[in-house]
Amino acid sequence: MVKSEIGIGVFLLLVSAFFFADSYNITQSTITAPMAGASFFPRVVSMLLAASSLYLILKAVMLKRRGKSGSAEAAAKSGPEQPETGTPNEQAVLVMVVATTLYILIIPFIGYLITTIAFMSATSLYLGSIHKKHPWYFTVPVVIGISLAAYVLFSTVLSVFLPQGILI
Amino acid sequence: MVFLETLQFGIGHVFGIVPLLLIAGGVFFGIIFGAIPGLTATLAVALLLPFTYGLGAFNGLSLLLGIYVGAISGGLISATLLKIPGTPSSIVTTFDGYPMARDGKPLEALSIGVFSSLVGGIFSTVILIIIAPQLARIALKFGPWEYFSLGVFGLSVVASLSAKNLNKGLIAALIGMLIATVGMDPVTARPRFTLGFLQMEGGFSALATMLGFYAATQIFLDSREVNTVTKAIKLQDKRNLLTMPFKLVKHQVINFLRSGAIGTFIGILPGAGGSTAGFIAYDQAKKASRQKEKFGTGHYEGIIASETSNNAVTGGALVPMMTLGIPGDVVTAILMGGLMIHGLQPGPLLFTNNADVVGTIFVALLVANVMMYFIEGGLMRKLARMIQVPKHFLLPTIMMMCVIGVFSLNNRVFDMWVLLVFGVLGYIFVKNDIPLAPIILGYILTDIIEKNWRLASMSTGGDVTPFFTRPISVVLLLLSLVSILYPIISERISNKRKNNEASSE
Repeated sequence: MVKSEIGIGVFLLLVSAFFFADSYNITQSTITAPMAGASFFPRVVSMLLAASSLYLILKAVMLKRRGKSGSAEAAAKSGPEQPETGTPNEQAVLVMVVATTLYILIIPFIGYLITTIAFMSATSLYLGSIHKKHPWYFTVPVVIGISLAAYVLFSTVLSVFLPQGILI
Repeated sequence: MVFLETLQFGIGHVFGIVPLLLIAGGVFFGIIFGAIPGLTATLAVALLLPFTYGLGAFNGLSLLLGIYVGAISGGLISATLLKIPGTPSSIVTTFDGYPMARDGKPLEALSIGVFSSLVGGIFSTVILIIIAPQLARIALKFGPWEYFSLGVFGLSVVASLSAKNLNKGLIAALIGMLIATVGMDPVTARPRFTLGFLQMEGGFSALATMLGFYAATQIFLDSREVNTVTKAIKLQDKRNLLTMPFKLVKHQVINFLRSGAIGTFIGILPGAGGSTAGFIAYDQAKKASRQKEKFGTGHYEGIIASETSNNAVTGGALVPMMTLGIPGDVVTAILMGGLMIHGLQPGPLLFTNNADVVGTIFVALLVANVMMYFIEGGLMRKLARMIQVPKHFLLPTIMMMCVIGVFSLNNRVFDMWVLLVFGVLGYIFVKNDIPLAPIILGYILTDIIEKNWRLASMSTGGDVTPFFTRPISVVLLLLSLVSILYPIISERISNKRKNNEASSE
């Protein structure tokens, strides 16, 4: 927890440094007062974010130092916050992120229907396999049904632009 | 007379077969989303927002308002039957709804909840219809100074209320503001932070940002827990839900009015949402009740207080969004996005230039509340079964809808990547207790804050004193300061008290 807070703090510090530095690349119009220019506002916000991130880092570092002597106390504190029902499955998050990345990567080339069926089958089968609720010959037809129904709904009723590739 | 004309416009636009069907469909969809734990009202509205583009402004808004009303009320189903609030605003309903259902009266608990939702929703809509046009008339006199201060006030309240740790709330708000500065600047249209990419000149689109931080993040969070199944209380007897509550709630007029007023007022305030309203109304109902000791054990007065107040938030929250263009919470921020994709700018001018839109919102909200009562009450047995829809079908479907929805609005592949990246970032933030609501509000309010700051500075040649001499502006700025300092001071006081207690022991 503390470690990842330091990581986030450093990341946000870098982000604010980028925004601050890049605000000097904004072409200013000469008519406006300096405070009314296009770079003033992002510069102020990035400085504030840098200050807040530094504070986050400092606090986390201090907590870490103190935590070494009183880690038992900290563990006792964080104990009851954990939900009792099952352990959260972090792997599932990774699978969802990777699947979505592939989905977005492929959909402009292949188009909506095939890619969606593939994405939905893969993720439904994976998430379903965690507690083995339905066999694959149930899951896949359901998923194809959902994708087709969504396709009809999107393209006819809601007249939505769908990504089109070589196959629909 | 203008007032009646507005409503007449609304009736004309809402009472047709298509809009009525859309509201009914929206309410139904909303109830399901509200009822399934893990899916929220915010997610429901955001998810369908891009698909309303093809429907036109009037029908699109009717659908979105139906979803909003349905989703806020739907939370009570799982709060009562699972003891899990289906949407955050129904937390307080679990206090009395679940014990009542567990003690063999699930139908009573649900019917009281549904009826209270109706009363709260109608109450706040009536207040909205009465005060919004008046407020809009006052807001017409606001200059850039007032708008700047309003934006700052809204953001400071959200930042200080939504996190346990003030610094993290501020960080979130500032992240949202920086995200909003990418792209063309709002006054002189200079490209900012585009890294030379043409695609970045449009900035991060509102929809991709909101769906990323709210929907995609939520899917990642939910996918960790597809294997946890909670047992729901079953509905066995077949009595009619719709007529039951009248006998039970006859003597509760004051509780209804008080809870409705609290909810509406909390809704109008920026930052505080349905759960805050629920807690306050519950507390007040308990104080005023003759049967204080029964609260928390399955007492109907508690359900009434909670559900009346959290549904009353809906009408209240629309007041600042419609009259000032300042959304008070994330759902109204997204609804504001719904107005904007149809080219409508919320604010006082909406009432003079688009009276038909205003009327449609008023009437659609009333109709949605009535439909919510009949749909939720009438189909309760089916809805109660739906709260346990298998998540392994649900989550991929929602993710697919996010990706397609984001793409369809502008036909940009870039927006899909924004969705994914912000979804992953949001997941990391939530795991580190950085709240997401200030990010969204910061993103939305930056346009108002920056634009008005710059317009004000330009008009005075860089002189900032009007911010502190114009009465409304200075009051709002002082209130912002109070809302930022309040958590710090109250923490100090409670720490001191703790230390004193520790030393006296």
